[in-house]
Amino acid sequence: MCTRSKFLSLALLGACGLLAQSTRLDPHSTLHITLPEDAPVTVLSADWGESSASPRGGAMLLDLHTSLSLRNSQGRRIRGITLLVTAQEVTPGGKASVSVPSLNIGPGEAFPIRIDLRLLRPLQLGNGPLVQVGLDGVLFDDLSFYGPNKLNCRRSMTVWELEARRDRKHFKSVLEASGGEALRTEMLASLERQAARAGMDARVARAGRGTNTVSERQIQFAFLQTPDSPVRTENGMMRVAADEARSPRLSFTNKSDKTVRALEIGWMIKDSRGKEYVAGSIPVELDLAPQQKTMVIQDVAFKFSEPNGQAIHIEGMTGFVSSVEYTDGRMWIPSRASKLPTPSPEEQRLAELYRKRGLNAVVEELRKF
Amino acid sequence: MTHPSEKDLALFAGRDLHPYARWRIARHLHNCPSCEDVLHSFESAKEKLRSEARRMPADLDWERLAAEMTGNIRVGLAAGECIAPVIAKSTSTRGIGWRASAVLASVTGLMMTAWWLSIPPRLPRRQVTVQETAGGIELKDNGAALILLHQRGGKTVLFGSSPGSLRARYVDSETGQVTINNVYSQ
Repeated sequence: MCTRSKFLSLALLGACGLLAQSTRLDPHSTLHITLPEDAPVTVLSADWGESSASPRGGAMLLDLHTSLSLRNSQGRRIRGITLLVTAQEVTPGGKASVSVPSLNIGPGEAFPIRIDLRLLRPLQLGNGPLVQVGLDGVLFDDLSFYGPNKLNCRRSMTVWELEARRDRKHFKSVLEASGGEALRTEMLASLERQAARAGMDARVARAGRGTNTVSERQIQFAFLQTPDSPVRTENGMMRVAADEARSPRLSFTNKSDKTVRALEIGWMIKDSRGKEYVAGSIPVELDLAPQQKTMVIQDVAFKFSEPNGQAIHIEGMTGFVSSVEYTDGRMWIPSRASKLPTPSPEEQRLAELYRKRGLNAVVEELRKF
Repeated sequence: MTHPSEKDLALFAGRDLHPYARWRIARHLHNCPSCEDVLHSFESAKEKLRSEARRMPADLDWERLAAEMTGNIRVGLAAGECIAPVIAKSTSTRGIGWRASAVLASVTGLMMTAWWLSIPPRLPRRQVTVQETAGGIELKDNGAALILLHQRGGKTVLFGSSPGSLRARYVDSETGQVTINNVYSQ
């Protein structure tokens, strides 16, 4: 091979190598942030960090990392926000949301929100903006709400805020009645409870037909009854085959004198070794008149595995009513006396604050509210 | 949406339904993946039964079986010879004309063609799944994917939600904020 041919070959190889490496993305052509004109928050800045695109076989892998700085442009304190993330060209119909509860943002103050996304799209797709970020809702300190509420985030954010108030009140009362050491004990107990719940991976799909119908059996929910709950859980079961649980069937009675519009059932699973996992929450939409009973069947299937990929064989399930919404928009949440197995987002935040910065930081944080 | 009963789906799988009910269920199946799954399970059970039936019992007495079959055939032939004159007489007096037969065949053909054309084309079903891994929550749709990544550090609490959505919650190690990611398949 002559020297000129060698040089051309090397140049070609080099060009191919460069093409195969990741390239920095132009975020403005990839991600659009659209907020309504009358939105109570405005975008101050958007840091795109290490967003990049790299070829992956016959597809393009896009890593989008952004930290948005938003400002409260209204006169009320913001307690929570939900951003809607869509990528219609990549996953039609699919959508995602990023919510930040337990906020305490005063008028004119700024706060950050991180969005970390990865998109895998076929190469033949166009080059238009891939990801749209919009506002789904903002919750204020008087529990008023702004936003299109496309993902029904109003209910979730109100529940998180009510839980946050309940937990802060509890921790403040512990601090006032028994001092800092008692609060420290509470924080340590919370961290211990969180650590005891094992992590797992999950997969969710429409229920359809079980993949392992031979060994399929029905497992009854063991319900944790909370005495002050306006809804009594009568019966609940799921079809279970090894690591797959599907088609939950639940029946409830409305004990209150108000019509219930929706409720959420928290549930946990136990494997054959007695290890417990937080499995999730089942939101149930209904219209249940006072003292009436109803049964709900959901078309959904869950598969659970440990982070190392090993299937979790489900042996038992525990359920509890974690929130109730009445038709007048008012909400009910359980009291802390119910000793429910999952911590609220606020309890998780305060426990993490204690773990990182100590007791004084938690005391200081509680005083802000 | 009203779903056909499992009994009707079983009859459909065995081709034992009358044409109208069959057409109605075929239409429903084009839009209902869960009923289609039930149908597939019946079809696979039928296939399994067939393959089981093909296997002959180990203690089968071929001599005796052959003798019984020969006897049955002879009885059938003798019975046919007895009633043959009666059948010949009745068909010769009650037969319909060839014109009526042609009209009936044309109308049937027309109806069958209309029925065939009214069946919507079978589209490939979209495979949409939502999956949570150590890295984040992933929505997969026919080779494309959207992954909402968890942030580094902080313990993630996972919540399966429904229908078709997953939720993960963690404390951001940089800001100390709680962040809740949701991914929905529909």
